[in-house]
Amino acid sequence: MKNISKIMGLCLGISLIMAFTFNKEELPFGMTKGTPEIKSMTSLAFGPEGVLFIGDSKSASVFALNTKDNGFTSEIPSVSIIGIDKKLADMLGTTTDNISILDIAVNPNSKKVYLSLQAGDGTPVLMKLEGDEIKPVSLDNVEYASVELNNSPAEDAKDGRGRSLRISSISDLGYSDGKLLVSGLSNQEFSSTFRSIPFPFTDNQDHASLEIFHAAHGRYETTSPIKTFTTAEINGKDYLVASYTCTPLVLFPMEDLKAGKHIKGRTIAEMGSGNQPLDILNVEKNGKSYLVMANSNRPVFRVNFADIENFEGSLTEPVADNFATDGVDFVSMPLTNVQQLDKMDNETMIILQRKSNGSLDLWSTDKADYLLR
Amino acid sequence: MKSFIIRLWVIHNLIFFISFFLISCDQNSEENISIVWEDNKAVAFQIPNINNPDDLEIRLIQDGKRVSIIGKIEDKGNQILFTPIIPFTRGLSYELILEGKEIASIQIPLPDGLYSIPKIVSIYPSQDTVPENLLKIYISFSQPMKEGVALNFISLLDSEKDTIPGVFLDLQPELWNETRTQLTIWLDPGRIKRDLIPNLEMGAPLKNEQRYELIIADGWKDQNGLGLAKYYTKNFIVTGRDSISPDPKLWQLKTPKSNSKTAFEINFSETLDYSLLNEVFQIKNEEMNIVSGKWEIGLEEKSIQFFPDENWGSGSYQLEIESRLEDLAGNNLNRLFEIDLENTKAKEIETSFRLIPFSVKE
Repeated sequence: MKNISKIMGLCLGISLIMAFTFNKEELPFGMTKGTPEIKSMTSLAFGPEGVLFIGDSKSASVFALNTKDNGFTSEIPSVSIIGIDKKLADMLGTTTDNISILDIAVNPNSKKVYLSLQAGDGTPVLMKLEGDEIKPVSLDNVEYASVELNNSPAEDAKDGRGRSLRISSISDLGYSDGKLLVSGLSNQEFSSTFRSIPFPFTDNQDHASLEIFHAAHGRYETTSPIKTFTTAEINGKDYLVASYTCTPLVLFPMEDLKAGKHIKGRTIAEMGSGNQPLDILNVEKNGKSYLVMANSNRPVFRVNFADIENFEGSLTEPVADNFATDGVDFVSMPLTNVQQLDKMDNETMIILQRKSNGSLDLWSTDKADYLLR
Repeated sequence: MKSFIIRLWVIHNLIFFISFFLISCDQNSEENISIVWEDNKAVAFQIPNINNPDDLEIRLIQDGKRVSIIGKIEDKGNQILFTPIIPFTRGLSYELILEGKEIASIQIPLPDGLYSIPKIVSIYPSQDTVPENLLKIYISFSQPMKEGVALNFISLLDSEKDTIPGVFLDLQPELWNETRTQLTIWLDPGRIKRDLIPNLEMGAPLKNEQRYELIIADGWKDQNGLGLAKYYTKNFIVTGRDSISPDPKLWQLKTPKSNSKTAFEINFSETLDYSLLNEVFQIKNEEMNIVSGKWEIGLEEKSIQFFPDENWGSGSYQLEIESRLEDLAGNNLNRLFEIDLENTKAKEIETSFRLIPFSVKE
């Protein structure tokens, strides 16, 4: 009997020592270590301290990846990669028609450029630029956290509300003030949900989810999916600047983005027909803030934020090339066929552009001062 | 003529597959290097043990050039595994270099057999009459397809056989289902929504009383790189605007008899959205338990039938319909696609579900 209690005591002692010795390392942002099962990388956005948000449309989830690429530099690497699609295809052992670059994002701390790709068979790949080299970012045994965007049908049934909009595609991601912002589209309903999810993620799934509406000339109200968005401060107030798939560019005060609300954006411009907004961001030049917007079938537009601030109305005229509207001047920049945009710092953008000779080039605007002149 | 050409093409490809298959088998047996397949994809090369795996290099041979590709080299005891970042591409050749010397050259065979050529299974709405404010089209494929290229292959012709520009919304990323076998295409909503600039400039994409032909061109590749072997067409005629929400109160129900597995049938008398029809119905019994069974969409998506797994018992039941169910113009049970704010008619209260009670009698 004595022996048994000795053995038990020993076991208890060993397990206590083990428990303290192998205590799980506390990871930042509530992350766990492992290999995330990411099915697609539709959208990228950087959060705090080198955290990269990866929007996975296929699993309707957002993954937060600790890139550990968090050293700060104010130096902007000058980027000029001619034929980046060919370079990527060669590295991956395939042809250019078998890969697509879905998004680019610049780490605001290290200024490194990250690219998400998709192979023809759907395999997602994350790459980053290291100097002149493009390198794959391994997702094996990394620190990550994730959040699911769709409730399971069972969860929806519990509160008797019926199914919430099932996101089948993440159209854009952003991070602002401790919140991950996600705009999602459905492949069944022409609606949009816009979600604001506190980061670090919590188990509480009750994200602020709201329905976005648009009223043309204040008369016909329709639901309006958001294609791309950015956040900006206008007259000391935080705004979401969003572009709808049906072309209007609208403003929402961030304070209005509350769960379950039916909200309408104030139209500041319509981008005209046959065009899709692709990317939108804000940059500064000589103390002036500009909104820059890439389009599928138009040149890149820029507009001075001061004009938006001074304009309090609702615009319903189309934006033409170098078209000066009553309130907001949209100036087309000498940039066409821009597929992706992000900013490297307040004054420099990185651009993925299909050049007129057919080459897909990634380049930074550090030597292109004329763009914002 | 077309089918003859296709047949020739298929035969040519079969010979091509077989000859290369033999070559690659031959090389593999010589070198004992094999391709590792997963889900029909060439995901790795398995190489017999070599002393210095770090000196192994895999190159893509293309247009007479050789470029080193990136991947993971793992020592699996008696085998070395080279896993590229994305699966090897079918039809392309790769060479294995060890200490600067070529040890093998492998071509990844194209998928064999006629059955693997992708096909279009169906196009919805399946009927040939659509309202002028038709909002979306679904295309179902036999295999997962390559994303991002849809609008290079889809076009709409008018009755003069001229292609109509700007009909579809160019949305990237495209809207596919999880298996990448069903694509949702929106007709440009900016042109459908009244008073938006695209609508004022170009008008609605479809015009009342006009005939159209939807064309899906051949060559659209699936995930394995095989293209649609033929083009597909669908003719339809456009009728007036649909500005009325579907109303379950007007649907006709055909209730089954107890002690049978006969279908419970709902006739909508109009075509409803195919994809939503698959998800929004549920039948509950008196105890509010879900009755298990199978839903089958009827001809032209104008009706749906429910076949229970077990015999119907006599008693009261309830059909639950999620209000997000839409007609072809995007009008759902709660609201129209476009709400005219000047129309002050009292709005019905929005609910998540509509309920229709019914009873099963002996």
